[in-house]
Amino acid sequence: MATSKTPYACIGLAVTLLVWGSVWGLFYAPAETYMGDVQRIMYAHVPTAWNAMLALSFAFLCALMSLWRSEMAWDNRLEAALEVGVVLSALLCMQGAIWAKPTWGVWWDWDPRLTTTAVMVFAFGAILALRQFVEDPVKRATWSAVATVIAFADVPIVYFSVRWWNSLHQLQSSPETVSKAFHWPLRINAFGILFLMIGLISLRTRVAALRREEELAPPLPETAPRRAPIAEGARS
Amino acid sequence: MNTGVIQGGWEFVWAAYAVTATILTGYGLSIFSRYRAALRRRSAAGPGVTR
Amino acid sequence: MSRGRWAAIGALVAAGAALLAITAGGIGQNLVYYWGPTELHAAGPKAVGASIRLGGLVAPGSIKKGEGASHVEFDVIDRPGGRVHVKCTGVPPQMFREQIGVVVEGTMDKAGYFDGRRLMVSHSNEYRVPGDGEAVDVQKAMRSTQGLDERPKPKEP
Repeated sequence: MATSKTPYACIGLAVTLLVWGSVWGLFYAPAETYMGDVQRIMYAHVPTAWNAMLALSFAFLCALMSLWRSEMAWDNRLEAALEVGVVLSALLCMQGAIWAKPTWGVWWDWDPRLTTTAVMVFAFGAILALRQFVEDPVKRATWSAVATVIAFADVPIVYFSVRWWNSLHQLQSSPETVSKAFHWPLRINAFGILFLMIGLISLRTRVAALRREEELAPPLPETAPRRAPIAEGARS
Repeated sequence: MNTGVIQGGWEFVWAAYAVTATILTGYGLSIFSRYRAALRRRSAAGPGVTR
Repeated sequence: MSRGRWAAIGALVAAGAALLAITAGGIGQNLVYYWGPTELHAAGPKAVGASIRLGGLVAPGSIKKGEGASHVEFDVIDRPGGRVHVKCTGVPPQMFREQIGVVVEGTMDKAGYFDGRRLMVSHSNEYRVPGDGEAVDVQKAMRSTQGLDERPKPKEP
C-alpha cells in the first residue's frame, strides 16, 4: 500500500492557498455594489460547490471502474470520494443558507436548485450509510457502485436546475458577470479546496484499504490476551 | 428604509468561514485519526496476520 | 461478459432514463417554483385563496412604503407584460429595490392584488465592484434574473 507523503503535501498546499485566498477575499478584495461585504461568502461557497461536484463526479468514475474491472481498489476510492463529496455538499448547503439569509431574506426555500442539492446530499449519504449494513465486500462493492451511478443522474440536474426551471438561486456566473477584482481570491480558494479534496480522498482511500485488509484477514480480537496469555507475552 | 444595498452583515461572513473551517478541519482530523487507528491495529495484529 | 459489466450498463441505462424522464418528460414541465404575473392572471379565480409563489421584477417607481416599516406595496412585472400589484407585510430584505427579482409567497386577493406573506429577493449572477458596470438597466436585470433569461428581451416592462 502507498505510504507516500503526497496527501500531506496536497493538504499543506491546500491550507496555504486557502489562507492566502481567504485573507485576500476577506480583507483586500472590494465589497460588491449591492451585497456589500456579504458577497465575500462567495470565495468559500463557490469553490465548495465546484469541488463537491468534482468529488461526486470522481465517485461516479470509480463506480464505473469498480463494476467494469471488479477491483477492490476502485471500491476503496469510491468510498473515499463519496464521503468527501457528501461532506462538501452538506457544507455547501450550510454556507448557502448563511449567504441566503442576508441576501434573499430566508435561510432556505425549496427552489429547484436547493431541492436537487438536498437530494444529492441525501442520496449519496444514504449510499454511504447503507454500505455499513452489507457484510459481503463483493456485494457491497457492486451495489454501492450501481447506486452511485444511478444517484449521479442528479448531479447534472443540480447544475442545470437554474437554467431549466425558474428558481430563487441565480444562474451560474461567468468571468464576464463577475468583476475582475473578485477573480483571484475565487480562483485561489478553488485550487485550495481542490488540493484539500485530493489529499483527503487519497488519505481516506488508504483508510478504506486498511479496513479491507482487516476484513479479509481479521486481526486478533481485543479479548485475545485474556483467552490466550501467550499472545500477550508475545506482544509485550 | 431600503437602500437596496446590504449594510454590514460581517457576522454572516464570519459565520460562513467559521463553519467552513470547522467542518473541513474536523473532517480532516477524523480521517487522520481513522488512518492512524487502522495502522495501529495492523501493526498490533503482528506480522503473522498481515499479508 | 462479467456480471459487473452488465451491472454497469444497467445502472447507466437506469440513470440515463431517469435523467431523460426529468428533462424531456412531464416531470420537468410540472416543476414550477413560481408563477409570473402573466401566468397568475391566466389562472383567474383559481388563484384566489390558493397558496402561490409569485416571481418577477419589481416595477420601476412602484414601491410604496405603508404605515410603519413593516408594510410595503409594489408591482411585480414579467416579460410578456404582465403586472400584479403586491401588498406585503414584514420587513423586506435589505437588497429589496426597484428592478430587482423577487419571489413572494402568498395568495391572490379577491380585490385583485397579491397578498404576500413572505418576501424573498433574488440576486442576479452579476457581481460588480461599485462603479464598475453599475448602470443596471431593466433588460439586463430581466435577463440575469431567474426564469427570465434566455427568453426574448422585453419590449416594454
